[in-house]
Amino acid sequence: MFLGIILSVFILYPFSILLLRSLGISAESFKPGIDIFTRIFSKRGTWKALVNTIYTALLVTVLTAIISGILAWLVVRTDFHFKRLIKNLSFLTFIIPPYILALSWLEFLGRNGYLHRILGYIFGLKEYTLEYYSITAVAIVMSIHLYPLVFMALCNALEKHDPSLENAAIMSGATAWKTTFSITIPLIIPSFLSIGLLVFSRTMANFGVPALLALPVRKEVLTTRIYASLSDLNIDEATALSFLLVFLSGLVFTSYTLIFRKKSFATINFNGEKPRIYSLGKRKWIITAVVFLFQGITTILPLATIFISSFLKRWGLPLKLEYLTLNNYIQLLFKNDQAVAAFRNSITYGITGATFAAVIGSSIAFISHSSEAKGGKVLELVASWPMAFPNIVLAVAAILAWNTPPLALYGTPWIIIVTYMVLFTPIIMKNVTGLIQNHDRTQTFAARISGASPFRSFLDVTFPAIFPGIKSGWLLCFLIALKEIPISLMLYSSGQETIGVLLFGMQSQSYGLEMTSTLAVVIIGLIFIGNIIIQTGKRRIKNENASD
Amino acid sequence: MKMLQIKDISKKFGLITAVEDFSVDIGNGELLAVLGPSGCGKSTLLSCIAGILKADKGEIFLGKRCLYSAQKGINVPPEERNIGFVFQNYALWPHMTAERNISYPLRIRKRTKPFIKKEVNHILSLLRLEDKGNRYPHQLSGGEQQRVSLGRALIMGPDLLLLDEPLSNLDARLREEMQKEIRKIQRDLKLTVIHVTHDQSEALAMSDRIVVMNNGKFIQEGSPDDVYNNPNSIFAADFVGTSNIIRGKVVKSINKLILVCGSDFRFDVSHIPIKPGEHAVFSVRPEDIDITLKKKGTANPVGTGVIVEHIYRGAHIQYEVKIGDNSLKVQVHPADSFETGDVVFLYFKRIKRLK
Repeated sequence: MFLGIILSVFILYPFSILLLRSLGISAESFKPGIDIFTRIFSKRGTWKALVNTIYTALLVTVLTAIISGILAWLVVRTDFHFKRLIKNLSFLTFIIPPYILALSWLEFLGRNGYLHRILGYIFGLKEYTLEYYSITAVAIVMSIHLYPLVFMALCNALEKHDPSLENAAIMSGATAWKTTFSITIPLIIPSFLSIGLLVFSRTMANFGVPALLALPVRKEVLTTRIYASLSDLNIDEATALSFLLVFLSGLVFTSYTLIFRKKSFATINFNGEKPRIYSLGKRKWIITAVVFLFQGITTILPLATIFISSFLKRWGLPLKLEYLTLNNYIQLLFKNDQAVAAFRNSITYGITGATFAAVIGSSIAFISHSSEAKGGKVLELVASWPMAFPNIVLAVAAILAWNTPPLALYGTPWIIIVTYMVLFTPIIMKNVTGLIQNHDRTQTFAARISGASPFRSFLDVTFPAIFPGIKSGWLLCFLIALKEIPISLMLYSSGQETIGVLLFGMQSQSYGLEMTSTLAVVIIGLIFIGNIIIQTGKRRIKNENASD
Repeated sequence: MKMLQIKDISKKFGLITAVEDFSVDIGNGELLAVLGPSGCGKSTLLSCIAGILKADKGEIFLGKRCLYSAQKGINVPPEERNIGFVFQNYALWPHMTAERNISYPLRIRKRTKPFIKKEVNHILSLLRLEDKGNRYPHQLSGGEQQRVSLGRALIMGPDLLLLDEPLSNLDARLREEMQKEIRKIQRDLKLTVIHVTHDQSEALAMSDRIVVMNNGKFIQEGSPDDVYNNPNSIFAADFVGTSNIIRGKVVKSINKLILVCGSDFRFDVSHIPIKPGEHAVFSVRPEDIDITLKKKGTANPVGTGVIVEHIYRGAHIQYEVKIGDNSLKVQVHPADSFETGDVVFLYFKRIKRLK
């Protein structure tokens, strides 16, 4: 009941306002229609942004599919070396926030960037014509960020599928190549498409990368256009554009479900047979070298670029020992009031938002999967809704809902905290749901029959079983709060700057790329530590279950 | 004295009836085995007694206490029933050590620390787990987990102990050991126990009394000896041990009653109260049949048959003998071995009429 009210106020209300406003209905005026849409579509910029958005998303989907398809096949189905290392490196790539990847792109490829200087040093090159600010640059950076996601999913799909299906093709006389194209690839097409869909919508939803790599040359996508119209205080346009963005991802998703509703070739590997391993023969070392070169460029190079820059006294100085300093770190972490405040704000908002989300998310998961209470499924559905919305749209909905009474949260830190809560609740809910479903109910009965009341048995048995999920989900959300840009950027007022706001704004202020890099290194460090904690926690759960 | 009375318990899941009008009484300090095939409703019955499931109708009394009554609207929650339960998968809590698992019922009952310590040590030594108290369940072997689960059920001094196929996950040797151990503890502590199992040899070996159950219904009850030797139905005869089921018609011949079954298979039933012309079903245990290559002196064999198959089982050999349309399982000491294809005379030592 209580949960129902919370969800209605913080999820249903903002989204209905968003919908109504984009259809021209608000408290002040009642002009239902698609007036706003005709207005935004009369601007050429909207069309360009729409085309750019779709172009980027498509390009990223195709690029990640090709790269990951090849990588996954090499890792799962050939006698390739260093499989573990490849997986770990791609995971490392994945945890680098895309905005920071884009930063390193600028530092390495930009004018006066490392590549420019290296080429100048070796070949005396003066003219530098690389279009490092472009929509294609956005697509490349997003591909680097998202390929690990596709890679992991395809590895899973390839590992699970039944090798006897391929053996049957070989026994029928097909060659290895023929088998791959006629059996293996068609079988993993559904996994390909569903993960491709995720990549597509994630690219569309991203704000930081196009803001950094396309906006400076006046190339726009939908997210940056929403940001621009908010900056112009044109709320109506921002609303309509948000609606358009959501509509687009909804369209892609619906067409996918319509086409593939009946086409699911989920094959389960019953006998646990190992798939057939192809020998790469003499080409093995060449291929290994190419893969490492690729991962070196996508993982090590960006990290090294950012890391080195973070010690420079000033961006642009030559790499000599005399120009290196630790002062950036000292300034950022202890001296600079603005930076210290940003850390404090992000940590406070992150902890508060994640904690609210943990309570609400795990309660919903429990009600929906473990108790007989009715309405649990409805709660779950509503709570998982925000997952489908880009962060920037959550921010627009929050502005619409909370800038006027009854709940005028705008201008207070609560608007950020509440939006974090909405964003985090489904994440924690999903994390806990798996554990609740796997939880052995006889353990609860054992507590009851030992004399424990229903509440006591929940506290002593069920809660300890789901607590690891709550903990890792909480940490995951906290890490998102540390690196997230669009929500706090749209919603902050003076004094509420977060790390994301700082990271986004530093470059344009008096600080140069060197300070931004320092902040990026600190963020990556925190995310890295956080992920290690999450992974060890997961491994422990796995081990306990395995030895049962 | 009746410790537990179960009257007309029924439980349905949707359209499926798991338990139907089931009644049974258990005496104080008695070990009752509920025996039936998988899915016969025996675990559902146990859950109804424990209060984990609510029966649809009937009554359950533990001593003088009414635990459940559909008519009176009584349903005591499981935590107030004071019943020990050992689950098939043990249901140990993975985040508690063996000691914490065992002491849980006493901690819930807010006993003093020294008392709990004393009781836990007593239970640990009773179950030979003295050095395992600090281990977590995943650090224990299957047999040890089983004993921890038993310890947790015993420590509260339960009025009734329920065992839900607790030995089914153990290997054969360990199972036999645990059967003896549970039996010993039950006698020493004078516990009233219901033991649910699908393993007939376990039920015969461990219990004072057996209730046979099938499709949620009560079939037969009695001592192990009684249930084995006097099965009341085809199901009981076949499920408890192995039986040959013989159907035939009684005919009068001179001064005898003969059961005729097929063309060349007849035997004397004069000693059984039965009327000529009646159709009847009999069961014969494989060990109650003798087969010989030559006729035994004066006795009349029930027929002659051909050995079609043999299975070597170590302590005995089981032959399948074909007589006309019937085939019988016969158990013979390995010393008297036969060849497939041998023509043999059959003699019945004992035969039971089934209703």
